[in-house]
Amino acid sequence: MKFVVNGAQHTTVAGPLTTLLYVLREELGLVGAKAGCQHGSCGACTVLIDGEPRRSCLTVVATLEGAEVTTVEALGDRSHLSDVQVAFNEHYAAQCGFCTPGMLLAATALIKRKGGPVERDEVVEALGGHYCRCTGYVRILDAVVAASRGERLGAMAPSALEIRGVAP
Amino acid sequence: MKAVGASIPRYDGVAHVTGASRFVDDFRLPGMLWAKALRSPVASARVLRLATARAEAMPGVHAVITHADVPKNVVGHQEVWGIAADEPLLAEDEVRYVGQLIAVVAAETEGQALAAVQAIEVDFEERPAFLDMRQAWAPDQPQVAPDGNVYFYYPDQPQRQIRKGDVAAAFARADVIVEGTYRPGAIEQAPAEPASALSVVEPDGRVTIYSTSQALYYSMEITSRHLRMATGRLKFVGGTVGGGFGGKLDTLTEPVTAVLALKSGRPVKWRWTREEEMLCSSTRAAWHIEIADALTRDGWILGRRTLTLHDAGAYMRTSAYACSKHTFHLAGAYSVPACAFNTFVVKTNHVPTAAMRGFGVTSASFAVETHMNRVAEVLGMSPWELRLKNANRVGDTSPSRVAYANPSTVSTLLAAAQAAGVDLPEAQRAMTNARREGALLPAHLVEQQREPVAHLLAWREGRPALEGGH
Amino acid sequence: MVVPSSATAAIAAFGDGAGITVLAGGTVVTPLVTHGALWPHRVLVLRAAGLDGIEDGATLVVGGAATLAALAEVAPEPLAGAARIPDYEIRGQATVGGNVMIGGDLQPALVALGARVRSAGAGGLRVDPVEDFIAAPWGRLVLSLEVPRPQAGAFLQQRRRHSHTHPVLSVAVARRADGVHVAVGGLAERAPAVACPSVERALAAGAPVREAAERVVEDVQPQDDSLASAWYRRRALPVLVARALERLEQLDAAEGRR
Repeated sequence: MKFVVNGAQHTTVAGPLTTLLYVLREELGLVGAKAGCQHGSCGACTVLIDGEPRRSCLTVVATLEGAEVTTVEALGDRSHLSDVQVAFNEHYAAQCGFCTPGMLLAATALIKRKGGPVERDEVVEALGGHYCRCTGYVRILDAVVAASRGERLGAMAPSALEIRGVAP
Repeated sequence: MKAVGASIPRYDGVAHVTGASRFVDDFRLPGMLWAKALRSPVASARVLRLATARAEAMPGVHAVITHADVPKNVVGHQEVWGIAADEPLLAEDEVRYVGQLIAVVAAETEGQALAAVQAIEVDFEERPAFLDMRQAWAPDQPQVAPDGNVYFYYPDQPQRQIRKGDVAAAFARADVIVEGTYRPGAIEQAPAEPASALSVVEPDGRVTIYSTSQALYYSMEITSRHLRMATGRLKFVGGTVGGGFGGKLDTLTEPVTAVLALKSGRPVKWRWTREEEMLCSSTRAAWHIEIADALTRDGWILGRRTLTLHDAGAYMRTSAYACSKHTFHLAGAYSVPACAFNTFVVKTNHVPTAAMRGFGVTSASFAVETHMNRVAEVLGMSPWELRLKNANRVGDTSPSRVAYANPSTVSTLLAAAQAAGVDLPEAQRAMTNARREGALLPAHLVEQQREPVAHLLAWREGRPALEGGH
Repeated sequence: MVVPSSATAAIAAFGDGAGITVLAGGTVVTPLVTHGALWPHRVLVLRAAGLDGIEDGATLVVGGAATLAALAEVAPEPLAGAARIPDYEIRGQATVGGNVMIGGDLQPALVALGARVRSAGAGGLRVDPVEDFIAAPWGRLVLSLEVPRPQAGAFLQQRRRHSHTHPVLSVAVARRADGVHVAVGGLAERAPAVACPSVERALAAGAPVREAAERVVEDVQPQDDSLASAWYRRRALPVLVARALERLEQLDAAEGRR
């Protein structure tokens, strides 16, 4: 079975009922998608399949021929964060960080679908299948709305950067 | 003080939003095996036979462990605090709850491990289960543990108790007695990341354990007991935890993977399924709390009697500690001059219960605050007035006779009223946390303020207890 | 594994359904396989079988492998409401056929609408009223649903928003040419939806909505389960039925019927 992951062609050796989550994590070492429940209920394993957010734990290899898969690893890296990533960081929308990759991908797809600013209730509906046990939902909503409007708070307080000795 | 008032970037913020943060399950090591467990399908049974030979011969299987493979199988989660060891890492001749670990397989894939688990042969003789803690003293109940269903704090004392003031006198002179029973249920912490561990035996014989523990040194201590290995030979790697909420204090995955790694000579990872996390990991305990208050008609609490039952589940874990905390907090944020509190740890055939966000205290707060509303309703007075009147002030003493130096109940209540848009009468709005006087210092509270107090803050700072406090 | 590229090939591969596991969206089957609860011998993958078509018309014909998201776009109420479970990603993946097979949320809506199920299996092709089909769905491959369009409809559900469990209760109501039809789901985990003839008769006899709704307890046998007690379901059901019927009255009023 052949499909594209983050722009690169992949031929899997896994059996037809193996999940995409397994292929990503164990074959490709792409561990951004998390095995939170492996029942489709928590959203932590969400990736984009042909641009649409899907549960990689419910998607088996047998249905992936020719598909294009995008994981959190392709959204942006440390030096080139996407708007959604910047917003999640600036709004402290990641607490323990376990649900964050799935949230980021669902939010990215929502903003692309809408092609412009999104309202809070649209975010609630689109991200409703994503579980944040740290209950940081308000900040997640803030971040997605801000990202859809292209709003940036700007750099974090420089004094704080000095204290921490890190650059975002 | 550059950080105060500034928005500080989280040190792990960028790693989180790039998906680069490494949780335990994100580590991959060459030759790594996957673990899967055989768990008890029943709440109570004798284990008549356990045979692993078939499972050991299955494809990809490198090790199967049972209780016989654990250097020290029975360990307690709070042995350091004097709570006797009572919990086997892997069940021996009996199982006491649904989901209890019996045997664990390490194989090259999770699928192979799962198949091997299904090939383990086990015969049970099921026994009646004890599930309702209210039956703790009823005759002819199934016994959960050899030493009975009620834990003894001391050889002659099963309850965690507090005694303060003359409770009998308080109830004798009460105008009204209000009773209530409160039963907060068990709750699963449900962290997004299930419990996981990865153990590696290093070339020098030390064991490195990647752990989802919320309390790395606590887990290291318990693991070292199971392995009979000095903590110096263990290296715990942790700190990136996908939520815990108390549920990741319990230490099971770490010693199990370590024993498997030692037996197989390969790194072993064990990642619990969501079902295991929900059904087999500890929960917040269920509680049964009875409160009786002796009251004056105008809303003074003269005394309080309580009876609490705590559902420990099948093993002690942190229950004794939770019940101590619970008992200390049964007066809530209010001044109760006469207290007789009795709290019992009851063992049942439920999954062991343990920490979750202020465990022991939330149950007390729920019961006390609900009871305060009931009292107000019975007395026909405002629940705000009842609370404000009895709220702790400077110089009031806790049930364990600690004098409050800086209580904040009144100011908190007033802030809550304001936030809720409740319009309180001027006399109540003018109340403060300051020492009681006048109408707010009835005779029954004068006495408790005169009691000698051992004030912890004063003790620490080497100065006498509260000025005028005795 | 079989991946047929036509409906005919899928029907042939399914045969009498013995020993075969059907994989459409995968939302039901995949977790069972992942967690070792199902070790399929033969798997029929429907992704390329062309069973996901939707034909709009006086009768809506929905392929068994159409997704809930696709159904929600074209279906009338109460079916569209029932298809809007439970979250964006699952709707894009879960299929109509799988939902009908497992006692899913579509059932009460399909019963209220008087839908029919076209299926394959032992004895060949069959078209059954949905109520008959869901009473014994096993061993059948859902090819399509035939859904007559109603004059109006409403769907109400009591569940935690976006949750994946079965609902505490579902109520579907539809005004069809022969009167108002009412069906209830969620009476227990995976219990088939049931029609509510007592309510329907009361309405036909001119009873006020609230009074007719009370009759629902004569038509159902709610069970205790992990989500709710039978006692609670009996108490809550008339309220939910009344609200659904009131919604229907509002729609009727807005569109000048009655």
